[in-house]
Formats: sequence, C-alpha cells, structure tokens
Amino acid sequence: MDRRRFLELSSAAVGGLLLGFELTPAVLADEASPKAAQDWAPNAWIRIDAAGALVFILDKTEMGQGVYATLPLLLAEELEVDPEQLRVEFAPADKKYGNPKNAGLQITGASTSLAVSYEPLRRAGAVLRELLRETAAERWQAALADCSAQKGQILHKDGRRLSYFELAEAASRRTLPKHVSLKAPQDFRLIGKSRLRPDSPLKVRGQAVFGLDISIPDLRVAIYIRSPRLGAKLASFRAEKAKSIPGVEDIVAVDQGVAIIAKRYWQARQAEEALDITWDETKAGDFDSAAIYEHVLHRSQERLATLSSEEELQKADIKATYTLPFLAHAAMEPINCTVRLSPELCEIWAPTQSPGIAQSLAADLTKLRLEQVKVTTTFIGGGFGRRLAQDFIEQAVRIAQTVQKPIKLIWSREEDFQHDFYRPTAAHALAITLGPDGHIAHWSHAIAGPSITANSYKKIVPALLPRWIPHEVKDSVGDFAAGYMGRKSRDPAATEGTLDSPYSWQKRDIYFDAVDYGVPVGYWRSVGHSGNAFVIETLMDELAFKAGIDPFVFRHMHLEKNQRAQRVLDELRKRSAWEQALPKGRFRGLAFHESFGTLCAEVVEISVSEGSQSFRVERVTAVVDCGRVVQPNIATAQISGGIVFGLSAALWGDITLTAGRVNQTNFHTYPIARMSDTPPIEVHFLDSEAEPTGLGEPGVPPLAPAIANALFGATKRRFRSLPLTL
Amino acid sequence: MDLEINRQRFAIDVPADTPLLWVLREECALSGTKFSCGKGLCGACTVHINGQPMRSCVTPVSAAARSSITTIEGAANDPLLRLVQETWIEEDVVQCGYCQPGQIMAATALLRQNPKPDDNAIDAAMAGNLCRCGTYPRIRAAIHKAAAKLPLPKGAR
Repeated sequence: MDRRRFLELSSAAVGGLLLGFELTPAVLADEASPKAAQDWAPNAWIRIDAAGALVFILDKTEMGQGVYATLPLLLAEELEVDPEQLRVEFAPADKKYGNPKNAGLQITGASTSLAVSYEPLRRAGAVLRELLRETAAERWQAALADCSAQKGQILHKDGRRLSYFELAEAASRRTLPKHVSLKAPQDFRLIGKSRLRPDSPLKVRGQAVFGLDISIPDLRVAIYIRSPRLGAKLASFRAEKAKSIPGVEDIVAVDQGVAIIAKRYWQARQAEEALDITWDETKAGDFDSAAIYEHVLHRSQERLATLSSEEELQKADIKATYTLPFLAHAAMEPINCTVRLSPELCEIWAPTQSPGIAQSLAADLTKLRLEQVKVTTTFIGGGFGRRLAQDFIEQAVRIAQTVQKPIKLIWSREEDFQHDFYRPTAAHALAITLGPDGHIAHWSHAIAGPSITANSYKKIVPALLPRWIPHEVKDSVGDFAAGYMGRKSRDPAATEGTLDSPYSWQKRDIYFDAVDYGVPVGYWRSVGHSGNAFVIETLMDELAFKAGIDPFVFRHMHLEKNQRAQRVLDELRKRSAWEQALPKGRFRGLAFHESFGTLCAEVVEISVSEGSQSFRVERVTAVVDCGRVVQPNIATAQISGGIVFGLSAALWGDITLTAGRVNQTNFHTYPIARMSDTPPIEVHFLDSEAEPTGLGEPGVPPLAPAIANALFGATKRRFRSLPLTL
Repeated sequence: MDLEINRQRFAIDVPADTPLLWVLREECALSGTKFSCGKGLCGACTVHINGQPMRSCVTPVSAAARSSITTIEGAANDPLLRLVQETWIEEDVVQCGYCQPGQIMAATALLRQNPKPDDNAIDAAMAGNLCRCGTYPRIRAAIHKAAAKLPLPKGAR
C-alpha cells in the first residue's frame, strides 16, 4: 500500500474518519461487555476465554512473514507469559484493527506490521499485567510492590499465587490503569531472541487451513471464466453440452465472465472445456509489449526534455534510458474465496491482505450493514501484494448472489498469471551531471508507466467513505480519486526511493507520468522500489566508475551525514570481503537501497562462463539495519526470501503481451528460482536500539542492480533493462 | 474404486481420469496436499505412490488404484516422514508454508532412496518443487540435518 500520499488524501477526502485506534477506555468498554461473564476481552488483541485459555487475536494476515510468531510475542513480553501460552486466532474484519500506516484500513502491506504493532501490543500487554497485579494485590490485601507477574500467574513474595484466569473475573470489573511503563530493552526476555515459529507444526503436517482448504456444509466449487484478452466483454455463451457434465449445477453470466458451479473442481473444469463462449472484443486492449515499451519510453524522454534545459542535457555526464517489464506475483496458493449468503449475513473466508476492504466491498454488493458481513482471514499461501486487490472477493460474492449457494471460487494457475495485478512496466529517462569534486551535481529523472495508485484507489477509496453514502456515489468518488492520483507527478508508488533517496544529490528533478494501457497493475513486493533501485543503483555504480572512485566510497560520499547508511556499507564491505581478489571468471557487484524505513545493502558474486555466454549468481551477502530485530530467525528468513524473490525477477521476470493478451500461463513460461538456482545467502543485522521497521520487502530492491553491477565487471557493458540477459 | 491412503481404505466413486489431487482433497478430506499449478510444474501436490514421489495433480486416480498412497497426513505410519517434519520445525523452514507439504514429501522420498545426499543430489531431487517465499537454503539445511539423524532406530514406527 502506499502511505504518506494515501493518508493525505484520506484526511482531505474523508475528514476525521480515519483514526488509528489506541487502547482507550471507550474501546475497552465496548470490548469489556462479554458474552458470558467468564469470557473477557480486556482489549482488542486478547481474550481470556471461559476455559481459561489466553487467546491472542492476530489483526495482521500471516502470509509467511511471521506475524503469527512476532506479534503475540510482543504482547507476551509485557504480559509476562510465554508466547506458547497464547492461542493465536485470526482477527475478524473490524475497523478497530485499522492499520494507521495504511490509511486506517485493516490491511497487511507495506512492511508495516511490526512497526505499527511494536508499541501498542507491548502496551496492551503491560496494561493487562498491571491490572492483574492490582487485582491480586487487592484480593490478598497486599502491597502492589509485593506482587509480581510470571508465566501467566501473579506471585506474592510469600509464595501465594493466582493464575490470570483466576483473576480475570474480578479484573474485568476494575478500571484499567492509566499509566504503565514498558520494559527497558535490557529487561527483554523474548524480544531479540529467536524462538521456533509456532505455525510450523501446523504447516509441516498439512493441518494449516489456507483459503483453499475451507470446508463448510453444502459448499459448491465455482470457477470463473473470463476472456484472456484484457478488457474483453462477455457477448454470449452456449452451455447445453457443459451442463450435461455430471456434477455441474449452474452456468451463469456474472459481470463480464461466466461462472460454472459444480460439486467438484474437476467437474467444473471439464465443463469449461465444453463451454462455448463468444467475447465482445470491440473495446478490448490490443497492445503488444513492443508497442508499450516504445510508447512509454517516448513519454519518459519527452518529460526529461522539460526537466532539464538543452544545455544541461548537453553537458550531462550520463544520459540513459531504462525499460522495466510487467511482473507477476505467482504466489503458490491460487486465488480463491469462499462465500455463504443469507438475507441477514454474508460470510467470507478468504486468503486476503485486506479484510477491511473485503468487508466494505461485500457490504456494498449485498446492501447489508458492515456488521452483517463477517470476514474470516485464513493462512495465506503467499501474498507479495497480490492479495491487497480484492477482485476475487467481489467475484465470489457476485457468484454467490447469482446462484444463491455457498461457493468456493477457485482460480487456476493460468487464470492467476493472466489476470494478475502486475508490477507495472516503466521507462526511465535520466540525465546526470557530476560536479568537479566527483559529487553528483544534478540528478534529472523522468519516469513513465501505469500508476498503481490510480488503479487501486478506485477500490480503496470507496472503502474509506462513510456507510451512508450510496454505492454509486462511492464509485464515482473512487474514480475521481484515482484520476486525481493518476495525474500526480509524485505518485508515491511510482517515485518511492527516488524523491526520498538518501543520496545527497545536489539538485534533483524527478517526475512521474502515468500512462494507462488497460493492464491491471498492483502492489508487488517492494512496489516502486523494485524498479527504482535498479535504475539508481546501476547508475551510481556507473558514475563511480566514471569518476574513478570505488563504488563503496562513492556511495559513502553521497551519504556523508547519514551514519546509519555508512555503518551498513562499512559492515558489508567487511562481510563481503570486498578487498579480496576473486578467482578468474568471478565478479562482484554492490547495491544499497533504503525502503520501508529499512536500509539494506547487498554484494552479489557471480561466475561468468568462458566467452560470457551465461552467468550464475554464486553468493549473496546482505547487511541490514531495520532497527531492533524482534525475531532474528524470522528476520533473516525475510531478507533471504526477498533476495530469492528478487533473483527470480532479475533472471527471468517478464510478463509480455500480444494483442492485449498476457502470453505467460504457468511456471514453464514464467520461471521462478529453484533450489538449484539459489546461491548461499548470508544476512547480517546491525545492532540497533531504534524501533523496528519492515523486513518483508527491503531485501528485494538491491538484488537486481547488484547482479547488473557484477555483470559490468564481466562484460564492460551496462544493463538498462530487466530481466538480465547476456 | 478402492484406494489405500495412509494405510486406510477409501471407496471412491469418481471418473477414472479425475486427478488424484482432487480425490484426496475433495473426496477424502485430506487437504494437506496442495493445488498450485495443475500441470505438474511446481511440486506442491507431491505424494508418494508405492514410495515414489508423484505429482498428484497430473496423476489420474485410476493410476493410483491398487497402490499404496502416502500423503503429508500419513506420518503416523511413516517414521521417516515424521522425522523430516520434525527437522523442518527445528530448522524454522516454513514461511507461508503452502509448498511445504510437497517439499517434505519430495525430501522424504529422496532420503528413503539416498540417506546421505550431497548438495547435488538434493538439487536434483528438489528441482521440481518451487517455493515462492525462497525457503530453499533452510530446506537444504533441514535435509542435511535429517540425513544426519539416519538411520532410524530399529523398530521406529
């Protein structure tokens, strides 16, 4: 999700609607009205249930990044329980779980989960702990100072003890303590020390329930057939033959596609083969990749000419243009969503990163109140930003409305590749001038491409508007916001990492032009940083070479007041043995990038075959400053996983179009890294006392430019497009 | 037709060309085996048929009749599978976890056939199992660690 701009717009458009929530007495009063006297929810994240279990309510989606482990641990740290004493439940969609860094919507994205939870969850744990101590002290008529909390019990120094459960009922009638202090870092029992992931046992035994594994009575399978040509509409279809296939119950038009409802998935797919559909392609897209590249490149060059004077362009040390491809998310779990409707209730089970948007979208479609839409988030088999878009929720609700049966919508892998919200293509045109001291005097940078912000605001903005506004009005506000954002030259999802680059370029002119080709685009792990870091970091390398300065030193020169960044670079220089000569045929490349508040630098070592026909990534060393590391094992996995994700994109990532159709259909035409492609990866974190920042995305951006910079060593050629080919 | 899955008998009534994957998931309520590519390209649906790792999404159920099928849920009767699962937990392998049942079934088949695989043997055996989260380095470490625990004690079940 995009952040600053989003908040700006939302406060302007929606006024005071968006409030990040805090632990206030109002919220607590609401929550403290328990169903039964024994079930007690002292705050939004914890419930002590009638059986005595401590239930942690996880308000972020677990998609591999480890919130199922790290967020309960934050609360457990202050509540003085072991994380294993907490049973984790996924939160329902509820506006009290709004993410203050994602416009107040209940969204898991932008590498924000730990950053936004770090203080509130520890505070929630501390408030409850103090309340329980006070309750025990009163019951014992003891001094508060003599009562301490440990492993789910309050202990008196004389040896008496009461479990949290035993204290819960009395505690629920007390007023919450107003002032609590949080632990000093040197007193942390849990934060900073790796524990095994609590979701592993479920996942390795096949017991974790992903969206695709949801099972409810009378559930039918739905598949949804759309034209592979983007923007084509449904004209007509003949279903007689398809309907005769055993198990097939309904074949109906839904929006611009055809839904097939069957008892079983395979029956539905058999029916698809027997179905005869005519598409109306009069308004369909007809672009080819080559034409898109040509057009978008032209737009960026036109813009560059307005950013710099003719003279400036003339004397620039480097003039360069770049083109970047569309990319697919290719999460392993295919898109799916289960819906059950009744006149008073819409129940949704979905692997979604945006339960809040899913809820408001479904309420609009069904004309139910928000409270009548129950969204249950499941484990999700990879997000990477794909499941921020709620297209599949809308389809599933519409299909359930049409056939009036509980359905599970399941996409095929082919549909996933052909109807993704792709990382947008982009062209960059730059003119860069070095000053006499080797410092960059002018960084002039024009970017053109489809705007994610414009695309996604159409759906996000309606979710932000008050419920009483009619659906149609909301849609037009959404369209307006999208149009407005699409015209913005500083669209954050497109320019992030450039306008706010930590490098001290003396003068920077950066401009984004949105161009729409009718190809759906969306947030893809590291979003705008994914392409912008490639452009900036390959150019920083090229400029260093031109200035005759070591690439580490050259970056240092442009980070002179940024001690955090300097420490990251210094540590990487050491860890990667940068000074050490390499054997013949081996080359190294460096890249550094800051994203989502985290600094990440990577050195890649490659081997190049005789005659430079092919290359292989042999080793990656990364150094990261993400503030305090809460769970080192998970942090390492996130950076390492980001590097592998970046490797797939750098080597093969390329969604192409022919006559308005995406050519790639499955993993044979859109390869992703295999074990044999994955080099040894070393990840080092700098010690830091700063608040934690994101880790899901920052490992991705430096990888491609680091490889390209290593390839320059081998080939003396500069690489200005992705994927990288010799 | 009759199927033997995790040493249990299932009487199934489906067309012979139905992929085994969907029979497991929809007829037998064994949802640990995952659907991902549907074309035998990613390995998420890997199960054992007579001990051999097979892509259940492209295996017609008829080809698995009169065979012994083991899925990720079959660890109770398969000490090696259980050992691999436990090692996966110890090595903190999983991220999203969606591909891991397939990875574990592929790794178990490898270790059954080659109890001390080197990196090349691991690469070869695991090349068909994709992981989008990029857990490969820990999968490799977990296979080596599981191998170090072999042979299983006599009488392990």
